[in-house]
Amino acid sequence: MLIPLGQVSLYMALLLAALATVSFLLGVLRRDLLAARAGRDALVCATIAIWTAVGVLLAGLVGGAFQLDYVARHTDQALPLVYRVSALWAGAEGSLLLWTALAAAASLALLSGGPLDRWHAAAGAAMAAVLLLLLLVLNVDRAAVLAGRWPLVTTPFAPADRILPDGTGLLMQLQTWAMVVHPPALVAAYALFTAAFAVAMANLATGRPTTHLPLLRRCLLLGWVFLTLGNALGAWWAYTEQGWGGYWSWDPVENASLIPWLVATAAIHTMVVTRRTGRLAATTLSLCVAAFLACVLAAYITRSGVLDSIHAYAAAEGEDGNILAWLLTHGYMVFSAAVVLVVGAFIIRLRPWQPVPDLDSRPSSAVYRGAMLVIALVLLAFAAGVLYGTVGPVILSRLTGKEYTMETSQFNQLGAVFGLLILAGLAVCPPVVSRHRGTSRARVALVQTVAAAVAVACTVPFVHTLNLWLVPTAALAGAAMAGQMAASRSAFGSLRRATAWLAHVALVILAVALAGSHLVEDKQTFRLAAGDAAGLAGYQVRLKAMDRQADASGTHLKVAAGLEVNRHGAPLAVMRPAIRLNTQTGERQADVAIRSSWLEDLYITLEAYDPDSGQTQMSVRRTGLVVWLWIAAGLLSIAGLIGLLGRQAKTPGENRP
Amino acid sequence: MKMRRWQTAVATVLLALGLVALAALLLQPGLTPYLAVDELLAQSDAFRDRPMRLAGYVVGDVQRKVNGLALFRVEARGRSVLVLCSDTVPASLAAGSEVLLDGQLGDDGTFHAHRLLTQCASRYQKKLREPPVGP
Repeated sequence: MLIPLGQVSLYMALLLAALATVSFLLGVLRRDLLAARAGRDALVCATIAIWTAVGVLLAGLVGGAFQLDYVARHTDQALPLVYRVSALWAGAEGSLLLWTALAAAASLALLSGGPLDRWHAAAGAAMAAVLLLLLLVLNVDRAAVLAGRWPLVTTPFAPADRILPDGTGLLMQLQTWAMVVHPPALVAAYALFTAAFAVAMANLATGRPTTHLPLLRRCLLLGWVFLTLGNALGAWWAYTEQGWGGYWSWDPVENASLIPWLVATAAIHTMVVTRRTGRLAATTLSLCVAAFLACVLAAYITRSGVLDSIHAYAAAEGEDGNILAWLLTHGYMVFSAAVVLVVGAFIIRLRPWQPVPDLDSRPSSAVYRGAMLVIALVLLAFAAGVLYGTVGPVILSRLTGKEYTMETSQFNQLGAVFGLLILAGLAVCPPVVSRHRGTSRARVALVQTVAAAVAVACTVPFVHTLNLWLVPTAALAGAAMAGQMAASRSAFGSLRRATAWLAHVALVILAVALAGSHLVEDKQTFRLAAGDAAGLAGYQVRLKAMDRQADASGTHLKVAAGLEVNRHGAPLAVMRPAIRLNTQTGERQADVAIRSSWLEDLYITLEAYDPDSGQTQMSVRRTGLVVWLWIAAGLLSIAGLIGLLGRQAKTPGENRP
Repeated sequence: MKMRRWQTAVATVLLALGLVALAALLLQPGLTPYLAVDELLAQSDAFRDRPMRLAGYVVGDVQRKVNGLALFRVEARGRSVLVLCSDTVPASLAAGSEVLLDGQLGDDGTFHAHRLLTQCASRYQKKLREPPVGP
C-alpha cells in the first residue's frame, strides 16, 4: 500500500507542478488572472501531494516498512525513533523530497495574503518551475533510463530487490543530534533561497525591482540563518565525531554550501542600499538569484557524481549518448543556464529605477553605497575563488582527459587572504561610513582603529612564535574590533543597526577563531600502557585503566581509556576517549574526548587498543580558540534572527539612517 | 552625472576582476593530479615524487606504528599500493573504507600520504543482512 500511495502522490505532484508552471506563465505573459488562479490551485494541490508523499515515507520509516528500498537502506528494527524520523533526510532521495516539500510550503506562503496579481503569477511561475525540476529528478530514475527500463521510478518509493526482515540501519557516525539537525537546516535554507529567487524573478519580470523588499529580505535573511546553522553544525559534527581533529576539509560538498552563504551575505549588504535609496536594485535581485543558483550547484555537486567528494551521494556513471540520462545528470546546470539567460534578458529591458533623491544626493550616501559594494565584491570574489577551486579541476579534467584536484593548502591560503580582506573591511568601514556624523568623529574612530592594530601587533611576539600570517591577522583583528567598538556608539539607536553590529562582531570573532585554530596547533601520537604518561604543550596525560563493555546482546562493544589530565602539574580533568565496535558488521566509531576552554581545546582520540599487550595508541591534539568558532556561529545566527524582528520599510528610504 | 556613473561602473568592474584574479592566482599552484590506484601504478614513473591525490579502497589491516604513522594497502580495480600515512587515521578506518589520500609516490613504491579523507558515512552502502538459515 505504501509504495503505490507514495508513487502516485509524487506522480500527481509532478503533473500538477507542470500544470502550475504553464498556468502561471500564461498568467504573466497574457496578464490572465484566471490562468494565475488555476496555477495557484494546481500549486496548492501539488503541495498537498508532496506532503502526502513525505507522510507516507515517514510512516514507512517509523513503521519499519522494509519492502521500501529507502527504508531498508537507512533504518533497522533496533534504531531509536528519533533516528527513524531523521532517516527521512539521511539519504539523497529523502533530503531531495524534504527540499521539495519545504519549497512547496514556501510557495504557498508567498502566494497567500492579498489578491492575486501579475507579480504573484510571476513568483508562482518561478516556484513552480523549481518544483517541477525537483520532482522530475525525484520521479525519473536515471539507472532505469540507462538500463532502458520504465523511467518513472519514484526513487524514494522504489521497492527493495528482496524483502528482508531487517534493514541495514543507520551508521553509528550519523546517530548524533547534529546529524538530526544539520541536513534539515541546510534544506530549509535552500527552500528559503528558492522563495527569495521567486520574489527576485517576479520583481524583474514585472519591471518593479524595489517592490516586496521586506518579503525578499525575510526570505534571504532567514535562509542565511539556517545556512549558517547548517554549516556550523556540519563543522561541529566533523570535529566531534570524525576523530581527525579538523572541522572543515574544503571538500566539494562543503564548498558548495559555503558559496551560497557568501553570495547571500553579499546580497544582504547590497539590499541595505536598495532598501534605503533604491540603488543597486538589479544587483541585489541578481545576487538573490545567484544565491539560489548556488544551492542548485550544491545539489548538482552532491547528486550528479561529476565531482568526487567524501560527501557525495552518487558515483559518476556514463550516459553513453542517452540524452535523457544526460539531462538527469546535468539537469540542474541546464536549469541554471536557462535562469541566467532569462534574468539577463529581464535586466537588459529593466527601466532605470529612480533613487530616493534626498538620501541619494548626500555625499555620505555615495560613500556608504561604495563601501557596501566593495564588501559585496570581496565576498563574491571569495565565492568565485572557492567555485573555481571546486569545479576548475573538473573542467580542466574534461578538457585534458586527465584528472585533477585542488590541494587543501591552497584553499586555506585563499581563505586566509580573503579573511584578512574581510577583517580589513570590518576595520575600515565603520569610521568611513560614519562620516555623515562629522569628520572629526570619523577621524577619531580611524585613529583608534590604527592604534588598536599597532598595539595588538606589538603584543604578538609575547604570546606566540612569530609567523607570516599571525602578525597581520592579529593587527587586522584588533583594528576590526576597534572599528566595531567605535560603531557600537551609534549601533544601539535602532534594532537594524544593532543586529548588523552584532553580526560584524561575530565575524571578527569567527576570523580570529579560524586563525587561532590553524596557527595554534600541536599534535602527537602516543602508545601507552596502564600507568604510563605522556606530555604535550604543558598537558600531562596518564592512562589509568582501559575499560571494555558490551551491551546485553553482545552486538556493540565499547573500549574506553580512563585518562587523568594535568596541566602544569595541577589536576585538570578526567577524559574517556573510546572506540565503539559493532561486532556483527565490523563497523567502528571513535568517541573523541574533548576538553574545551576559552583559549584552547585538548582533543584525544583513541586509535587502537591491543588487549593482549595492554597497549593503547592515542592521538593527543591541542588546538587554539575552537570554542569561539561555535560561539561566533551562534552569535551570527542570533543576529540574523533578531534582524527579522522590527518594522520593515515598505518603500526605499522609509527607514532614515 | 552620466560620466560619473560610467566611472563607477568601470571602477567596479576593475575591482571585481582584480579580486577574482587574486583568488585565481592563490589557487593556481594547488592544481594536482587525481588518480585511482591502478591509474597511478600504470604510469608510476611519470608521477614519482609529484604531489597528487590518490583514491582507492583499504584492503587488509591498518597497522598503527608507535611514531603515529599508519601502514595499510589501498586498492582500485585489482591493483594495490602500500600507503604510509602521517595524518590522523580515524578508528573507523578498516578494510573496505573508501579513502582519498594527498601525498606522493616514493622511490620505494610506497605512497607517502600527509592527508587522509575517508568517505562520508552517508555514502557508504552496506549489504542487506541475510535472514538466518536453517532450523
